[in-house]
Amino acid sequence: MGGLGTQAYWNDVETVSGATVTSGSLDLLVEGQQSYTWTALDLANIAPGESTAKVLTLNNAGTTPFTVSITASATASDVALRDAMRVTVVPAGTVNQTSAVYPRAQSCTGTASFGPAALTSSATTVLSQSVTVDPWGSLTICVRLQLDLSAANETQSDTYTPTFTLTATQVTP
Amino acid sequence: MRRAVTVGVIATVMLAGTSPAAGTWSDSATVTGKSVTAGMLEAPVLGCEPSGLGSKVSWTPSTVPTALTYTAQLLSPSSPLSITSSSVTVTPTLLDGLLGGLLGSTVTVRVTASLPGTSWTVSSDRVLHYRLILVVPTVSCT
Repeated sequence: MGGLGTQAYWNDVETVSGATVTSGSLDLLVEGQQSYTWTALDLANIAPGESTAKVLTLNNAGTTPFTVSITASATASDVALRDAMRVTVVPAGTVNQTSAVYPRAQSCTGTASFGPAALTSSATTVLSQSVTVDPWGSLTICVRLQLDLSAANETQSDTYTPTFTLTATQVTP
Repeated sequence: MRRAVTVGVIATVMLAGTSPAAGTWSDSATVTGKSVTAGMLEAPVLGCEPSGLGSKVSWTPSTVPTALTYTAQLLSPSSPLSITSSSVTVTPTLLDGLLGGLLGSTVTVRVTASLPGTSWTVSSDRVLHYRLILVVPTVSCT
């Protein structure tokens, strides 16, 4: 008489460990900082007809490509000075100094994305998202301030402060 | 660990998505410019000295930020004054014509400096006296 055979199954368990997935990062820095005071963009005792231009360097310190847009606004101790200050923004521009004596003059070479025009107290787009900055890459922005020849008499000894807000947006694959 | 692998795959899909619903990373930075201060023209410092029976008002021309141009005038009554070597001379004869011999009056000389080609100006005033001194009509500084 045959008996039932023993029904036994062997089994084994193996563990597969997945690699740790680390998300990327998107990090925009201006001159190596998140918030930057641009002391170089100045011209002591600027007079009508004079101008100054300086270059700002943006860095992609993250791992994700991004595009950059910039808005700008300005405040002044007298609105007449704000209206008379002409701002020009040139991506990838360089500074060209044409005169070191009155009327002191510097300009930005290249094609302007904004200006020359006055800024207001409201944010105005001065650079749209047109340039891609790769990880560890950089982008330079040349900004020129020019006090128009028509600046009113009451603009003497007034102060003007521009503010730029830069936004980096991830480039989607 | 299978669970861990599954989570990783889902996360990758989310990052690679192009739909707005998938989300897009962004970052911002603020750049504040240093305050730019506009210049200011130097107001002419007016000196005054006797010149015959009249008075000569003079000043040192400013060259900041460049050579300024100057004009001078009398106020009340308004009358332009001729500048010679950074000075104007106000004589009794001139005031007699303007004031009609009204002795005891004061007149104001205004000198205005201008930055050429712009709207920038700055002015200084000097008061002169038109009166009799030793019975002679005289324009004096004090």
